[in-house]
Order: sequence, then structure tokens, then C-alpha cells
Amino acid sequence: MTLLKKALQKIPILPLIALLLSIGTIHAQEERKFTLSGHVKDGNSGEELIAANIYVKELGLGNTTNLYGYYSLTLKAGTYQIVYSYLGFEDKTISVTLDKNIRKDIDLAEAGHMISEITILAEEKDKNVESTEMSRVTIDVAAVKKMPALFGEVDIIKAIQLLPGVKSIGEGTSGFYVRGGNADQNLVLLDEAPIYNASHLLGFFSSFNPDAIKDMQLYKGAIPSRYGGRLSSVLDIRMKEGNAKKFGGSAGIGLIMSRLSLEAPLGNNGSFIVSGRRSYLDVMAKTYFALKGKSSEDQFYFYDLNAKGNYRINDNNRIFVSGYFGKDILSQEEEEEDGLDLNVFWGNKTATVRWNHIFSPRLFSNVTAYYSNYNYGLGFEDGINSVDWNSTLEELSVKADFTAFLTPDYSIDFGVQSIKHDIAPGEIKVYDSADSLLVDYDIDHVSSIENAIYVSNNWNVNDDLSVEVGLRGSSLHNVGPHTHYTANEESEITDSTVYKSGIYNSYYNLEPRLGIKYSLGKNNSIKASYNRTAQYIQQASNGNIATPFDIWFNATPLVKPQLADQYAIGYFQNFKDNSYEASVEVYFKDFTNAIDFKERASLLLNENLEGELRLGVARAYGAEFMVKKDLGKLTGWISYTYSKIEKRIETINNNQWYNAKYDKPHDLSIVLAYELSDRIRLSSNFVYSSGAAVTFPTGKYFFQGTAVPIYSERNGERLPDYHRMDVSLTLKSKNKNRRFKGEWVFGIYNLYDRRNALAINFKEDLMGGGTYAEKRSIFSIVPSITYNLKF
Amino acid sequence: MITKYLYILLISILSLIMLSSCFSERIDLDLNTLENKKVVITSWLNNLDDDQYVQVYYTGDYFIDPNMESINDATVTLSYETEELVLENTTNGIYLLPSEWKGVEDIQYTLTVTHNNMEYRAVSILRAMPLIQNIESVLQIENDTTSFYEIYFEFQETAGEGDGYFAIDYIKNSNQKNVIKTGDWIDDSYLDGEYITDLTVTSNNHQQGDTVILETHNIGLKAVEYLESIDTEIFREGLLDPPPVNVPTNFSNGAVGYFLTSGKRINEIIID
Repeated sequence: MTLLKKALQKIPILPLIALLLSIGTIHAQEERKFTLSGHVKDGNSGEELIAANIYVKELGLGNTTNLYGYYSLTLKAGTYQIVYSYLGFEDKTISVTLDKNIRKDIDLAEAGHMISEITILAEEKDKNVESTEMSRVTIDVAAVKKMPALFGEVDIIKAIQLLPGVKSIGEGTSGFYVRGGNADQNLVLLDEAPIYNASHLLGFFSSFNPDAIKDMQLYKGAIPSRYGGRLSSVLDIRMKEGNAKKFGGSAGIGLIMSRLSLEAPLGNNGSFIVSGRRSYLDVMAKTYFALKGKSSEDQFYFYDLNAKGNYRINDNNRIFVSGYFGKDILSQEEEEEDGLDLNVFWGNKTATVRWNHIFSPRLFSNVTAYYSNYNYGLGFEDGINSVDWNSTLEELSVKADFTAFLTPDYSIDFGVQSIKHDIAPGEIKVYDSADSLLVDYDIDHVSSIENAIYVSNNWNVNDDLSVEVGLRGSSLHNVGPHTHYTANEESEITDSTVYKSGIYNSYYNLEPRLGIKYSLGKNNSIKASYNRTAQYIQQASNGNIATPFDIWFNATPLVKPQLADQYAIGYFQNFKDNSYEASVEVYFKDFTNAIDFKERASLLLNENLEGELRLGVARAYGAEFMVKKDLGKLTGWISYTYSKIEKRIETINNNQWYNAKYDKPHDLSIVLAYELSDRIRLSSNFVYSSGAAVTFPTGKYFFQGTAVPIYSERNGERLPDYHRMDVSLTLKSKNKNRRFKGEWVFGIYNLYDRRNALAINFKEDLMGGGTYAEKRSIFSIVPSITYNLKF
Repeated sequence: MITKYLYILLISILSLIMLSSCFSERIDLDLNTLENKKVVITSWLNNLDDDQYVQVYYTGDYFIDPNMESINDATVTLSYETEELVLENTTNGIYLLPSEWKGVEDIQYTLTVTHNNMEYRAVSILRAMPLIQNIESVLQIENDTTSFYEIYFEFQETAGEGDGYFAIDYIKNSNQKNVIKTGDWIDDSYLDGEYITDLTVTSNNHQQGDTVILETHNIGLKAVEYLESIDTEIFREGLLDPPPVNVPTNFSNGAVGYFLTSGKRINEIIID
């Protein structure tokens, strides 16, 4: 570990870059090889296409574009037929004579025929079989928009929850749980900046406006070494760059919210997009009360704004600037003067600047600087005093990523990242009725620096065997000022030390990543992967569901970083010329330094949160099955997951293993769409899962007339099974060639009115009938109408 | 006319949204309550001339009130200093102390219950309750038609941490005394040795002419935590609650319940 420590302190990045810069020149000349490189774009909008295929017919080999649509193929001198392809677009074949390095940007035209209308797994033909990667899903936003949705509002997180290995814990929530990981173990990135609370309206909608999203990749395992900081998954979301060819946009009007996106070229070398949404429950409520002759100052709404611009300085340099701003506001005012007024808000802000630079045709780089801010607040006023509580989490990061395309069969990714975390857990101000400040209390701010360096080798050993080997070295440094508490074996504070400045504690971790694919034939392969991940910042959530007020906190001398080792093996098979794809993946995940809160933990405004934590271990295992149909009038998929997630944490459940609250062993999703005609589409989802793990009383006794519940083991019981069916009907406008293309979407969420349990509470029967169980559920049938417009 | 249609439209949309959300319904649940029965021992002894007893029984079905299965064949002993008293079993699992018995301040009491070859033991120190001072009834006017009286009092907290106070007020000879729901408690973590003023625990609306009993106890810090955890468990609302956990007990060997001793004071206030 000393070696890693030294490496991270003295990262030899400049010599490394110099070495790789030479790759594109010296090596090529020696071998008489030349490089074909460029970008692959959507011919209609000019947007770069991620993971488009470039195939050399004569050699039977190829490559794919990277996250910025860039590709590079170094071949021996000669003439080649190069085929460019991307799902949903017409293939394009060109002839290239390589007698020098050639730069070729390619525009692909959208396919005129119906293809893969619903699948959200936007993979190239046979890529699921041929690629080394496993446990990864690329999600097609256009297809997600065609799925039935709650209140008719398309939500990419809800679509993700339908994938094998991904679970939700409650009706309508935006949190997701991947292969036994808690919701805070998902790294959710929007243009590389992390989003700390990806939900609106307490989780009924996610923060992501589908009209502004270009591409999403979910890594459930085999996480590439360029990603780090979370244990269980990475959801990498890329915003659209904007139409570089013409002015355009889209809009939608629904029951809950409306949205508008505008995009246009920036001269000949750039483009921009601006996209916004606002919900209007509050406006409707005010109008409703006004019509009844009453007034209401209550507010309950959210809005978000995505904006992005890019400019191509020259062939080798391009700049991207993007930002996200979203906020939820909930306030309630009592009519009585001394009634309790409530004001709550939360929101995310991000800003990202990226610089793509092509050092040579075979060395691509991207340098990113981002800022992410999550802020929430709570205010009360009762006519006598008012209380304001504000909390903020900030993250500032610089990272540099490089890809060296050495040969068509071998590439290396490497890079460095440094992140500064600043957490202000709570600033509390109390005022009297004359607005005089009575209390001004600021819980100690917490700062840390997280560093990482990584390298990943992608090597196609031969036609059948390919390997991806990566290594990530990461570190966390706690930085003062901070008061560090020392605890005894019972976690009771025995001493405290004040660090005024500088680093007072460090952690270092090596995170190896490995993926292997072996082809058994043209249409089937087996894959295996291993990855270790480390997490240095986590969320304190002790309730049944996450709330905007859950506190994020760092690893500290008392709270060690969480580690996870995941082993997975899978079998992948395609049938009928790739019309059907099938896969089975089995995984085992071992968590070290898993955390949970002690019994009766006190989290609110607690300066010594770590004193409430208990460490232990956790294990997750499962099998995921999926069959998917991509082509034809009927498309969709069926997925089933069997999984378990258990924890053993000191002092909890008598130190015995217990189910995590999100342990739901059986999980089935069926997603189908049927094209009745060019204008009419029927879509349907069906989901079934075991009920969430809960703790119920198994007996009682009386103390001074009060019934005291007795519980058996933690999370040893279950809520009733969850199941639901949603349907939607889409009617598109008649004339496809019109400038404005509209569609009506009629949907029904929870078609057969299943009252799924969100929680079960126990209440006293006031008529003297003892205690009874009461099931609480949120939704019955929810019909919706949405109108979407594209221009 | 436009306003009317707009009104109907808004009503329809709001109805769709509001009426399709948030439901509660009573359901049947099988909680296997007859399995894993545990021995329950409860006792609250004090230094006054009260009925002093220990109750022993099995935990019961969570849903059905209140026929708990009594344990009448246990051996129950209370020991302190050099004394050891064997309690007399009556019925319904009640084990009585001698009628003249009263607890003594600053004495440590050990309660031992033996049943089916298992011994359950708990220890409690009887702490003195300080003198209650400046008791008064204060008129509270809620609005033009509603007013009531609250009982206020003060006391000097005993120096030295570890004390915990329980107080309750109720109409004399009424059955409004419910320890958890109408009583209140506080420990001395943040007010050790202080003179505490403006205290009230009134939860019923007392009226003029009522005779109110103010009952105060020093139950100790751990017993306050016990009452607090009962309060947390019985007033659960669901989503934002921490995970349910068993309330603590001071008995060994897996029995549940609590052995509590307290210095107790009774004050009688006539609201006139």
C-alpha cells in the first residue's frame, strides 16, 4: 500500500502523456501502419453517436466510437471497405485507401424502416455476445419515452427499475438498488457531474428530463476502472449536444408538468440545447381554490433546467459547457396566525466544462472540470418563533481521461481525478417574532479530498477470447478544520481532538477490475468479471425510504471506507439473426465495512453521526435472466431476478445476519410494445416482486397499561407481494413530413387497481378491539393524457 | 361559460390526481404470535404506602387484548442490603410484597424471578424525588369558547448525573392515568443540579373545581430511556421511522419487561 500511496502523491502524469504521444508517430512508421480516425454523427442533428460500430470488411475486425463519438483504427497500408453502423441508422460503407493518416467524419442517416421500437437496450447487432463487457445496459431514451409511465411522465429511472438486477423499494420512488447495493451506492452522473438526489416530488419523478438526454449507460458490475467512488453501480447519463444543423425543439404537456426544449446550431462549429420542465400542481390548486372563492398560499412544485453548448475550435479541440439546475419547493401556510407554517426545499446544481483534445489520431483525451451542489432546507414558523435549517453538499473535481488506440485489437484507457468534497451538515437559525436572531448554530463542516488514478487495457487476444484488465488506485484524505471524536469499544465518545487545518487522516485502496469474454460460437459466448470498488462518501438514511434530508457523510478515522468485491459469470446467446437476445448472469458480492445505524439512532442535527453507526459485513448474490426481442411489430423483454442481500452488523439483530430492507428475492418484469400501424402503438408493462423486508411485532406485553410490542428478527417479515400492470396507447400525427410532429399518449398506471402496500402500520382499535394492522398504499388506477410535440 | 368548463376540467384533473393517491385499509396479518413466547416481568416499586407487587406472565398475541397467560408458579424474591423477601403469589401472575413494605431511598434492590429452571434478575436503585415547589394552576384561553387549566411546578434537580424524572397529573379518583400517553419524562443530562421552572405535564383539560393529583417520580436515567423507547415504538407512523427494535429491559436471560424503583411524591391541587 506504501507504493500506491507514493504513486498517488506523485502521479507521473506528464511523462506518461509524453510516452503515449509518441505512440501515434514512431510506432506507426515502424510498422507501415496508418490511422483512420474521426467522429460518427447523426446526419440529421449532427450529434455524435456513442458506441457506433466501425467494421473493416477485409480484416473482419472493427472498433466502436467512444463517449464523444470518436473512433480510431490503425491498420496496415492498403485499401479497405469500412462499414459504419449504429442501431436505428442506415449502414454506410466507404472505401478508404490508407497510405497516410486519414481523418473521416461520418454522418449516418436515420433508418426508414421500423427497427427496435421499444427495446431500451440499444446495442449493436450481436454486441451483447461479442463485447467483453457484461452487466452493462445501454438505454435508448427514445425507446423509454414509449413505455407507459406514472401520470404519463416519462422517467428514465423508472425504466431502469425494470431491468434485471435493479430494484425499487416503494411505489413511485426514484431510488434504485443494484445487485444488493443501497441507493447511495449508485454513482449517478449527468455529464460527468454526480447528482446526489436524483428525485423530484419526494421521488415520484426523477431529476432527468428525457428531452435533454442523449445516452445512458448503467453498469451493474464489471465497472470500468475510469469510474469509482461508489460500490454498486454507475449510471452515466450524457446530455444532448443540440442540433448542429438546424433549429428545432420538442415540447410536452401533461397532467402534472410541461416541458420545452430548444436546440440550434452555434455558427458552423457548434450547437446548444436548453431544456426545462415545471410541475403545476400548485397552480392548479390555486386556481381550484380561487374558483371556489378561497385563497391558498400553499406551494408544491418543482422545476429543472438543462443547458448545454459545444464549440469545435478545430479538428483536434472541442469545448463542451453544460449545466443542470433543479429545485423542489413545498410550503404550507396555516390560516390561523399561530398555526404552523412549513417551508421545505431541495435541489441540485451542476456545471461541467469539458475539453476534448486529440493529441494524435491514436490518442484521444478529455479533460473535465465540474462542480456539483446539493442543497436542502427546512423552515418552520409558529407565530412565536421561526426556525431555518440549511444543509449543503458540494463537490469540485478535475479529471483527465485518455484513450490510446494502439491497434484495432488493443487499446488503453488511463486517467486521473481529484475531487474536493465539502459538507455543511446543518446551519440552524432561530428567530423570534420580531425577526431577531435567537440561535445561530452551525454544525462542523466536513471536508475531504478524494484522488484516483486508473488504467484499463482492452485486448482482443484472438477471435474468441478478449480481456479487459483495469486497476484503479484511490485515496481519501480528511481535511481540517474538524473535531475528531475517539470512541471506546461500545462506540461511546471518550475523547475529542480538534484539527485546525491540513490532512488528519488518509485511506488508500487498490481496486482491480477484470472482464473476460470467450466466444462459444458466432451467436453465443460466456463472460466473467471481477471488480473491487471503494466508497468514501455515503448517505445516512435510517427510515424505510430515502428523503431529501438524509445526510451525506465522509469516511473518517472511525468510519472506514466501504469496499465491495463482485464476482459475476454470464452466458449470452442470440437467436434468429439477432431478433432475440437471451442472457443469464450469476453474481456474488461481498461487502466489507458495511454500515448500518445502531438501534434507536439519533440522526437529526447530530454532530457525531459516526457515533450512531455500526460496522459489519454484507453479502449479496443472485441470478438474472433476460430474453429480449428487438425486431418486428412486437418488441420488448422479459426479465427475472432471484437475489438475496443480507447484513451482519455489530450490535444489530443480536449480531446475527438479517435481510436488508431492500431484499426482495423475486423480481419479474415484462415490457411489451406492439405497433398496430405507423400511427398507433400499444405498450404495456407488468411487474411482480416479493414484498420489501420489514420488521413486524410478534407479540406484546403491557407496561402500566400500555401495550409494548415484541419483535423477532430485524426485517424478518415481508410486505405483501407487489404487482402492477400499466398500459399506454400512442397516436401519432397523420403526416410524417410535417414540420411539427405531434402525438397523444393515453396511459393507465396500475390498470387493475392493485393497492400495493407502501407500509403496514399497527393501530389501536378505539372501539376496544385490540390492535389491528393497517396497510397504506399510494396509488390506485392513475389515468393520464400527454401531448408531445417535436419540431 | 368558459369559467364553468375550466372549473369542471380542473375538478376532474385534481380529482384524478388526489383521489388516486393515499389509501389506508385494515388487513389481516398472521404474525405467528403464539411462537417465541417470552417471560414478562414488570414491577414499579416506590417509597410510599402503595400496593407494591411484581407481575409475571407470558407475552401474548399482538392483536388480541388483553388475556395474557399468567405465570403463577414462579419464585419471586426481592433482596436489598441484608434482606431477602419471597413474594406471595395471589392470582393472575401477581406477586405481592408485604402490605407494610415501602421502598427506601438510595437502596439498591435486586429482583429475582425463577421459572422453569431459568433465573431472571434485574437491579434498580431507588432514587429520592426532590421536593416539588411553587405548584400552581394556570388558566389557558384557547379561544372565545375554550379555556382550561394547566398545572405548573418547579423543583431543584439533585446534583450528580443519572437521575430521571417522570411526572403525570390526573383528576383525583379518575382513570385518566396512562403512564406513556399522558405522562412525561426527562433526564438530567443537560440540567444536572439546576433549579427547574415552568414545568407542566398537563395533557387533560382541567377545569375549575377539579381536584388534580400531580404524581412525580425519580426513576433514574435508564428507566427514562426505557419509557422513551416505548414511546418511540408505539407511536410509529411508517415511512420515516427508524427500524423497529425491541425496547430495552434490565432483566437477564431473555425476559422482557422492566424492574423500576422510584422515589415518589404526590401533590394534590384544587383548582378554584
